[in-house]
Amino acid sequence: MSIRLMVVDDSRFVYNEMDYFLEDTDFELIRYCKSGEEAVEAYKELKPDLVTMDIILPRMDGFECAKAILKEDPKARIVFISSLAYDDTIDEAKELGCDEFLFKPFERDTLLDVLTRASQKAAGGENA
Amino acid sequence: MVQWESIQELMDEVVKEMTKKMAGIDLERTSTDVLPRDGKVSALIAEVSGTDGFTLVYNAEDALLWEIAQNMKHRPVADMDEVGEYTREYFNVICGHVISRLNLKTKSSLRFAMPQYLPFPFVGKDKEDALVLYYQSGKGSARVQGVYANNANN
Repeated sequence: MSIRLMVVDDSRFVYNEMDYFLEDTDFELIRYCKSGEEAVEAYKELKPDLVTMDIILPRMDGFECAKAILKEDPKARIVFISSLAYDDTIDEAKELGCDEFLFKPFERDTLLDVLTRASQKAAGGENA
Repeated sequence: MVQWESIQELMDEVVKEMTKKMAGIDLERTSTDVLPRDGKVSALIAEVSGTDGFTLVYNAEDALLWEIAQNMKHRPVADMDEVGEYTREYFNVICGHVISRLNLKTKSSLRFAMPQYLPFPFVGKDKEDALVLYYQSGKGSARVQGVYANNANN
């Protein structure tokens, strides 16, 4: 069974990169959202297994969006993706219960490792 | 105040590393500006906020930006709008790594807004305090600058 993934990023590059890297894997890209507001609505409708979330987004940033999704579904699995490496953004993500983090630019193996870990935690019923 | 000299090498390291990693292009640093004055040049800019406000600017020949975008996409790009979309993300990653490393090095809390793509060169009125790095590659040249926000002017 495929793992349904929603990508939240204002850059089409990230979506295309994931589409390219996740071909012939167990992950299925079901939705691409360019903004936090769009993602909150799409999450309610689709209930994806995993969400990848950029931090720097126009208007509602990635943290605000994650909070809104987690309020809707406390079991939501969110993986933050950012170029803000070596930063306190990691702590902020962890405070939300999102302990998987992917740094841009990422490679295929790293992406798969992170998404697989996050989906296993989801399947294992760990809290988000 | 941002110590530009302290981030010059850091900036250079990140620009070359990310250009290679994301687009497979080797940028060579040059001592003089080789950006053509009459060629087609576009700009990527990012406003940085925190203890100091300044702007990071990446002016480059369209041919170089086109190549970067195409290599990032793994397929041909359609037009300069698409080039703008991809290179905005390229500069976003550069800014993210620069700001993160700078925060770590100087114990500061700088943040930046999503970069903008301008289909024309960015010209700062007063570059006296700016950091300026020049690059060339087989596909074209680029100029990377750091200018204080209150001096920045399109």
